[in-house]
Amino acid sequence: MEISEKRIEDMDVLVLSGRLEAASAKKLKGRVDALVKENRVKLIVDMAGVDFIDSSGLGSLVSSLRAVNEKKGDVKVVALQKQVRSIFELTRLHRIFGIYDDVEAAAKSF
Amino acid sequence: MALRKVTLIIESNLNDVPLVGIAVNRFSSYAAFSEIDAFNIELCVIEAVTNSIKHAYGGRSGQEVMVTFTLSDSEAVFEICDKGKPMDPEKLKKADLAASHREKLDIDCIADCGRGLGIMKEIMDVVEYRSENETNCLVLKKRIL
Repeated sequence: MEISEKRIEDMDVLVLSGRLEAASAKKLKGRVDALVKENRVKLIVDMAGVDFIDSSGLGSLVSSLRAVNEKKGDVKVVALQKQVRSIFELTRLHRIFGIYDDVEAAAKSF
Repeated sequence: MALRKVTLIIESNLNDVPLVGIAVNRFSSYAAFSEIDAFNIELCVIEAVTNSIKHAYGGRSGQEVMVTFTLSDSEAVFEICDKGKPMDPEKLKKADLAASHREKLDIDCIADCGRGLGIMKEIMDVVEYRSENETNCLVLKKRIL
């Protein structure tokens, strides 16, 4: 999985591509932990390029959410592919994440 | 149709798990499962292989995980086997995604508690576990409609 980043005002956008699973989940969590240390806790995760996710990948997103919540921040999830969204719904994670069609909509929600 | 069977063996390295997933997805498509079913079956096999590497082998590389795919007219069967530490069968009995849905979502548990077995039980028609002769196998079955 690849992660690229961009900044919109006080928000950080993490653009993921590839498979978010056990081997790559630590990479995401490590990047989020580094941002949280710098008090950058308004995160948008653009998942348009993620074509597979497993429970480890979901766990990394949830632990990221927990880390930013502790500093009054939030994680917004953007552009889920159909099958990835079905796994969010199966595990009910769509109830704890704000899920948006695009980065612009997620940014407006902060 | 006679049973058709193929076996894949990978080293216990998380970086290699996607290779099994991609193969399983193609097998499933070949067996006439829909695109979404093939994705879900891939997810279940990935969860099982990851469990073998993380829990049975404690993350140690250099061990083997064997995935056998058997296709008949009525169902596809995936056996994921390792020779590591056996799983407590109670974990499989207790895994219930539907039950956890009825309770308040616990963010700490979602992050830290394994949901893989619950996902498998939700998606597959049969999930069984056996441990004998120093080999542990998780068996996943999906009916072909």
